[in-house]
Amino acid sequence: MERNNDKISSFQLGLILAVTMIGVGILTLPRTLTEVVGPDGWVVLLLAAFIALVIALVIAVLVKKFPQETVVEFSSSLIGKPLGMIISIGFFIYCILFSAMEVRIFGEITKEYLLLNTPIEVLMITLLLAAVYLIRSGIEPIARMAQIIFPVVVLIAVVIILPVLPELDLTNLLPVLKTPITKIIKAIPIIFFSFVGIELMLLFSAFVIEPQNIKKHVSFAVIMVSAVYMFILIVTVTRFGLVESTHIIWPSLELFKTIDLPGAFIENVEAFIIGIWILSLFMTLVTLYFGGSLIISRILKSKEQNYFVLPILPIIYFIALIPDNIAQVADYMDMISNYLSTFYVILLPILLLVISSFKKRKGGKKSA
Amino acid sequence: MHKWKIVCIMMVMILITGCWDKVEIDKRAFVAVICIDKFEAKDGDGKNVGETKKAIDEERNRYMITIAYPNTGVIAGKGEGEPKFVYTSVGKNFYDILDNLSTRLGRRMHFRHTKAIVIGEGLAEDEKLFREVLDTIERSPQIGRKVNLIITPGKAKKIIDTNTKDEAVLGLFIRELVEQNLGTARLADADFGYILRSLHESQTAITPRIFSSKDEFKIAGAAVLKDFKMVGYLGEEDTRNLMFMFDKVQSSVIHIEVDDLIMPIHITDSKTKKKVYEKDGSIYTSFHIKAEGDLGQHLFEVRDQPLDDEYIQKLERTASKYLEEQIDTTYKKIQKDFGADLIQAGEYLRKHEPDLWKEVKDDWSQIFPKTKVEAHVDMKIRRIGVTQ
Repeated sequence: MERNNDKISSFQLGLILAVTMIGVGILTLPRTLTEVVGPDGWVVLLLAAFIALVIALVIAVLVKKFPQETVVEFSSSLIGKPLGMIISIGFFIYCILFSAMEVRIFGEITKEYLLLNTPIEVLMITLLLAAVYLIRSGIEPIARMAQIIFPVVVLIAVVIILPVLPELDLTNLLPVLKTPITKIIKAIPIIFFSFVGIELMLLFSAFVIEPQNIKKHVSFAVIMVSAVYMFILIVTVTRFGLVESTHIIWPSLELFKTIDLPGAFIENVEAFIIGIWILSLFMTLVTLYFGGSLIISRILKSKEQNYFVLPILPIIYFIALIPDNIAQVADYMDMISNYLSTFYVILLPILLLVISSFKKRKGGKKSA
Repeated sequence: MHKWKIVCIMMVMILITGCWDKVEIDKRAFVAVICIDKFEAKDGDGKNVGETKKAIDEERNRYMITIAYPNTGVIAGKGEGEPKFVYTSVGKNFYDILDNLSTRLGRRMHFRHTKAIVIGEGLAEDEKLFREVLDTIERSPQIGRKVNLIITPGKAKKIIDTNTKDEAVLGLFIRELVEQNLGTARLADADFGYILRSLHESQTAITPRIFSSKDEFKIAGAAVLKDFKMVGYLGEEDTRNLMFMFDKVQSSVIHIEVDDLIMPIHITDSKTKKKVYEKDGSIYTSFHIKAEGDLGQHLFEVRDQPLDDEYIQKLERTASKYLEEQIDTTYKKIQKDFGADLIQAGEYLRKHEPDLWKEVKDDWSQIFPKTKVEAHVDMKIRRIGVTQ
């Protein structure tokens, strides 16, 4: 079945990646960074953003060589079918695990701040069903959704932070660069995983009409996301100070409890913030979940991915219910990002790029 | 096939619609103020705790919490009755008491709009209980960081019994009183967010204190928290001087005496630069204050004096010297009475002089009382009113 809506522009790809990156990471970023390097968090973030940019460019160069192919196809052609298959299945598992953790954290936060009596299972199921509805429609609606949500998220987050600005104390960022350099380097991996999501480019580039523009738009996405992170980090640390930033589980959310808008009963802006955050988390879930179903359909050589969407739902749901408490969720998240993300975000693209350039040189010789 | 679709739609309608958390607005109790006291046996006055049960309950009663919420109907101008509802209960901890209270309330308690938390002196002096209370409030996702945490000499419950004349919602009234008063710099400008930050950073903080009589409040001065408990009070003048050190003075009045004449100077603008440095083996804290003010009062029928530049400069010098002395006194008083780094000099060192801080941070609590203070005030009198 040929569908004409399976095409997106590279700009839309950039937006999809941007909304994927802004997800759970944004909530904990100020805390994890401050815990490790104290006031020098912004330096680490800057370095991590730079590395993310490099990785994004590596992936962009790689996918440009294989237009209209996802990682499932080109990894098989590069490193052989069995290995390619293992990598694809691993990628599928990675997408599913990550979606599950996103769903779980969504449930935890919504229950904590907004809906105290609603069972977490119901919250998670409703989010998943809404996601399924979007995912079944294919990549193009997802891209359009990203186009709507990204500006909304960025704009409203900035506007709502404005009332905090007079209370910021920039001296909280002092002393500058007093952290040992080894500590800074060690902190980069931790924060780098707030940029997880770029690796989905390996999958979604297959739908892009003009692959020559991917580089430009993807770097734009990474820069935008880094700017949002930087903004949140600086505002949070300067508002709370170092000790407090490491003390609060979700400092970026707690920030909004310090806002007191003039007029007695208009406060509690954190409800709005969580609303917006749910939008961006929803997009992260959608893209990861879509990635999972796409891999399965490509492995099974099916033309359509939407048959696979619903059967995956219970898997995600049950994985999401595995952790007992919020501490375990964090542990699982760390585990996934330490092992799987390192492989899929950093190692795999570089590996494939090296092999592909090697193969091409061989091919070039042949034709000469 | 058709049947299945209908079944599915019905399931969706039944299972995933509706709202678990629905509470009608008239069934919510918007708790505006929470008063927390340490339980003492004589508090059980038989109304809230059964006399017979008292002996059994004494073990588990640790707190006494009083909440007040406005009667929203009356405030909206519809309906009749008391403008506020007050409930008191005792129990093991905050949530125990809330459970206890909800058995008596027809509404669901809602803390998102809480404006003030008043803590009785007895509780604030008990480190363990006070830490429990601080943690409960900080941990709660509902209570914001803009809440005013206020300490009262005596029982916090008394605050609620005060019938104010001009504002029915007690929490709002306290908030307004605090905001109004900030213009006089006579109370600690400290909301809950600041207190938490300061306690985490240096184990010390100041918080406003509140007095009450039958139908009046007074919020003035500060209670000093050190090592998570209250260690004493600062008077209004000391609090004002501390606010000068914090660069938190919006406006204030100081009274200076020149040639047997006591004149009020309205300070309209003030900027403080704090600096902590080491000189000749001892640590100095210096405050450079630039302030502007107006002359509020002179003497009737004394011509030429206020409009004379030299005279004004004399006033300026006197005012500067007065403020310098004030700051010096307060600094030394803080060192002597509390030994607590309320000035946040340690934090300044950590930020600006990390090398020095590394040396002193381990025994900062011993070093701080020995630090020296320097104050330089540059007072400018800009206006003298409309007569000369």
